[in-house]
Amino acid sequence: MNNSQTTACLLLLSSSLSFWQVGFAADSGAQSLGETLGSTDYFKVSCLGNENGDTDHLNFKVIDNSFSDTNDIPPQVLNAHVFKDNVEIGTLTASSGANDEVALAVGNGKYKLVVDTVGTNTVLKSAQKYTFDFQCKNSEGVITKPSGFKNGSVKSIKNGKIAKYTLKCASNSKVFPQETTNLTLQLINQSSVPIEQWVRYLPVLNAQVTKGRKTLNTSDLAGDSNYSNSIDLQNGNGDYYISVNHTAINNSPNNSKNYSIQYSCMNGASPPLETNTGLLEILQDQ
Amino acid sequence: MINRWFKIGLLLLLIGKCQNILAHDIPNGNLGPSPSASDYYQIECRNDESGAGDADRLEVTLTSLIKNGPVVSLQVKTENPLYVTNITDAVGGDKISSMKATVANDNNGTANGFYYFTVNKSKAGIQKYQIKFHCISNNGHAGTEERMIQNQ
Repeated sequence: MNNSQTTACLLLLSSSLSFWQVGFAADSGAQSLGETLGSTDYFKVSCLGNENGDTDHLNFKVIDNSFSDTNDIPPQVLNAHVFKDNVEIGTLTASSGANDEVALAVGNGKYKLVVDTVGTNTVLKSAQKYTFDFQCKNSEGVITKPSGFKNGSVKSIKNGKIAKYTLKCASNSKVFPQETTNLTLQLINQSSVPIEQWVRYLPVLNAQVTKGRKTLNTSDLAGDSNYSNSIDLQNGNGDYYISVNHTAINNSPNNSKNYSIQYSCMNGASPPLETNTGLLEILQDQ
Repeated sequence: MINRWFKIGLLLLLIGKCQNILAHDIPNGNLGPSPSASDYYQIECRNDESGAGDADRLEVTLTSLIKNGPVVSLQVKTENPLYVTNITDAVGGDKISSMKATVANDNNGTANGFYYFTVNKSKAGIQKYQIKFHCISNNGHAGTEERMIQNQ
């Protein structure tokens, strides 16, 4: 390798390292904030100078990791109750996107079907969509004569409401045996989980950075993999204080937060380079 | 004539006393449109020799004023011991304030000393707010001073 090639190589290497330093951030790792109203975590980070010069600002962002998938959301549910002569003989329950099925050893006759939303997550206001697959069968498993609900027709029900149907099983002269000996009913909850509604209901995670006479705030919503807006608190070398809290105003276990923060002490260059980012010291943990 | 001066004197005395009884207010706080906009205050509770004595605690509430505006929060920090808590008014313009925060320094057995308020919001957009705060003593309201450190 000749001198110009060596120089080019070194320049390329140093610029790569510089890029790495711009992208690097310290990470708090997983942190948690309690559900109690007013809960606040409080941290200190010390910024000093290094070969890149003195600190100009602390760069900071936070992410709310309180729920990672829809399984963390208390579900909407539908229930279907089957009655014969006013006696309940079967119950189905299905949450959003799920099915439930029941097989009842019953014969010809009328059956009352009552659908309700008891036990549903009432924070989620969307009407639930559902349908049934309803069959009356003989002892050979052959369909006799069901009526009262058109299989696959989509119905809708709001929280707190009920819907009623009258199902009927009758003999079918075209099959043998003609009489019904069992009824199968599948409840199909066709609703999707209204994630956005749930996220809007959750308290917002706020984080403040303060040093001396300066303070800034950034906020993050749960339910995605995106960090908050990044903020730069510009106040030189020294101790920066970080407080993290949520906007909950009612007591609820859903107030609690899992979160993490990323922070870097940066110089004033363009693009900025990291200076000396100290360890994160926990001053208050709620 | 003497009667008139007596009345003036009595009025002045009453004004002095009333200033200790009335809560302190930051009635017209204003957070600008940037999502990171924050205001910052220093509060001092002290024995102002008016007879109310040393502070026993500081009480604070927050009210956000613009309907459908961003949710506003206030963090209260004590110096000794270090403690931070948060209050939020989630609904603007309904005249209903946040829950009350009650905090206390412990400086030689009194809550005298400095406290800090940081006020901020959960997203972009202008929001106005009001803060009511009292340095409470065992005999009423202790001396209270406020200074604005940052206004955004």
